[in-house]
Amino acid sequence: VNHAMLYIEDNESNISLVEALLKRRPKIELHIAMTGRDGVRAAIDKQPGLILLDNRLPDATGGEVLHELASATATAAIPVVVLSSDSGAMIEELLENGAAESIAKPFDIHQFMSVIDRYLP
Amino acid sequence: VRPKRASSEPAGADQVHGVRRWWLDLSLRAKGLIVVAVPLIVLIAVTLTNVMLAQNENHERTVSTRARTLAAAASLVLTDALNAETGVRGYAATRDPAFLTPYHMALARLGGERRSLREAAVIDGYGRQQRAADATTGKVLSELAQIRSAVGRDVPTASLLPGLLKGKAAMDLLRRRIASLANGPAALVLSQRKKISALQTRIELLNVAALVLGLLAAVAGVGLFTSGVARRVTANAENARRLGEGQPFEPGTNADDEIGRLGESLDRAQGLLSHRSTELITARDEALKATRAKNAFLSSTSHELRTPLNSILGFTQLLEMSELSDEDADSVGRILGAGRHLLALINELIDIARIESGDLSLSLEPVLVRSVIEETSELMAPIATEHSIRIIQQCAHPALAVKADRQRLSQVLVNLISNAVKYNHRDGTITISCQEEGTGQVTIVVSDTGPGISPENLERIFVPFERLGAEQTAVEGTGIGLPLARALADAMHGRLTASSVPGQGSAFTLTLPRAPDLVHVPAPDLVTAGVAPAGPHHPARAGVSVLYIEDNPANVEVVSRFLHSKPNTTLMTEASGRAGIERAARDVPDIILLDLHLPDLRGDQVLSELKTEPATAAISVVVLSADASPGVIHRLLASGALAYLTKPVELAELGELLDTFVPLRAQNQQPQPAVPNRVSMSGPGAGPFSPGADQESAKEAW
Repeated sequence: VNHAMLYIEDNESNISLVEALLKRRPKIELHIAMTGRDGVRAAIDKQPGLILLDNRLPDATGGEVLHELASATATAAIPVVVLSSDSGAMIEELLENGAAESIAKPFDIHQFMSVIDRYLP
Repeated sequence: VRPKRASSEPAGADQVHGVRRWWLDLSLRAKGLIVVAVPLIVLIAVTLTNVMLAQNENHERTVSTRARTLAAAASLVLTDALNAETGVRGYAATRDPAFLTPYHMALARLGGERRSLREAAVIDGYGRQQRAADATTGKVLSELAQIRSAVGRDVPTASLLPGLLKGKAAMDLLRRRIASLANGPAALVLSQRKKISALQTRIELLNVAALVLGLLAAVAGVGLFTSGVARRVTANAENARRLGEGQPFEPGTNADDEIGRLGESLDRAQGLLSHRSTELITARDEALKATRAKNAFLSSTSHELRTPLNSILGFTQLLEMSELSDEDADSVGRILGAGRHLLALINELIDIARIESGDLSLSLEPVLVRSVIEETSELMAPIATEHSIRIIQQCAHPALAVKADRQRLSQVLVNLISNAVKYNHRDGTITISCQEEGTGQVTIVVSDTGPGISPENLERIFVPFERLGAEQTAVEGTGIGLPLARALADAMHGRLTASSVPGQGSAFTLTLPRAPDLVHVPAPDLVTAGVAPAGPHHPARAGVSVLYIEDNPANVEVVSRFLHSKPNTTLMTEASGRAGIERAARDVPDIILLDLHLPDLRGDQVLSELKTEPATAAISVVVLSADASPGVIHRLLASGALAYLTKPVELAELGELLDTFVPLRAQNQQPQPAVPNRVSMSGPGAGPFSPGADQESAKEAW
């Protein structure tokens, strides 16, 4: 069973938070990428069961990363959950572009965990 | 010097010179006078000519009369001269004095007649002839007197002969002279008659000509004048209309009369108007640009603020779940409270920015007023109780509905109630009432028993961050709750106003458009409606179970009541997309009614998730929406929806759909036990950080 999860995020503090949260799910193997480019590469290498994607990265937007992931056959099937603190219109756009769902930041940790549990049971 | 017309007028529009120029520049009064004067002058000229001709005729008549008088007087003189001669001759022939009688009578008359003739001969040229005739008359009379005295002296007849011959010669001369005196005037009379008749003909002709000319001049003058004036007034009226509609003017002829000045004024008005509208457009563009800049700023700022807040709230929640001393737990609680407050503030700011930029998407549909009031009151009850404040609901109308976005309406009411809690005395009350207005509107009034708001501050409270007296009091609040509530009310085609009696309290009135009454089902019935009538009498019943995923309880109530009347149908409901998906996976209904506007997920997301999940892929999904575009409907049907129904749901249509629906289970011959159904309605704002979120039950999940 694939319990790998890739978190593409540049904010240290958010990374620490997700790391702390995932200590409660020892089965899940967490990979971190801090740029869009690294994220796409890690997705191809690690083949995670779920990708968490921050919408604002230093080298790319969430939409661009989504596009990269969707166009590579190695990653096209991996569900991507977008973490975003942007407005509704932008989230709609991301969902149109293939994001499985979105979690608004700041997120409620219960809601966050339930999403993770659904994709990586 | 009058100002020239606007220079913007096309060149060539004013190529008018000479008489026409002079005429155009005359004032209307002068033009009118001229138009009236033309026929008047014709009339006066004709009258004068008439008078002159009449005088002429008069003169000719006098001349003619005199000529006749002269002829008559002359013939009288001749007649009596002949009478006298005849008498004298008879006397000479007969010596009978009786023959002298006519002679004497003629002599007696001749004196007067010769005077008359003298008086009548005043016509030029006849004085000399009259004198000659008179002298001849005298000569005739003296000859006759000599013959008569010779006869008296008994002179022999033979010796009278020379005297008689001389008398005859004088008589013949007189005859000629009188004839010339009488015939000349007769000819004159004849010629005068011709002259008079000619004059009369001329006068008649003149009269007719004057009539025709005067009439023609009057008609033509008035016609030309009025049509000219009318044409120019019409042109100005057309330009005035164009001015009203903001169109460019038709080029016209300028003139210095009243109409021309009217045209100039219109021109100036147009210039002014276009100048103003240019200014307005510029101002509007600038304002729009500023608003866009502000919204972009707000949007990016809120993003920047949310990022650290994610860590603050996340780690604090983690802390909250660990074992803490009471003191630390209190500290963590305060951090969480402050963090959530900050988040609420940011969210409200974004809402306001979205409303202003028109990005806020609303799902306007009939919402039961009473149920929203009940829900929000319930939601706010804990906070009110904390302040010892009682919430009184006064909404008697059970079926009264408004056209609104249910979540946003709840948000407005939560803000109003929260405000009423904050600005209230301890042990005060909050009254929420609803009222149907005659004008197709519904008002919801939230009133408190607080210190009230002074009249000059009543509008300030709707300005963001204008928290009245907040500096002095310890009242918590974002400062944009009321402005947001008003903006939301406006966005839902309603309005929010405030009134207050200082010292007694304030009242906030929310007015929304009315929707047709919704069937209201009391809560206990609702629960019963959901209970499957699964009894021992129907053990192998192939009932249809329906899952209705809908966040608007009013819609749920309608469908629930409707299904209650249909045997073998059970209903379960969920108020959010996520809960609906989970419920569907757990309870596997036969059919899912899916609202497209859900608080958490979009309808098409829910549909695709249901269709990709093996446990739920086979369930038939009927999509319900008030405003889906044909493209959306097509896409939904393509991605596996069984049918699409418009909202408000046509119950007959729904019934037909359910009647023709054959449950999958029945097909599989695998009747399952009826699911114990429960109508669950999540309240509005039951999102992650709302005050009503049930943290305890979530904690158990860990």
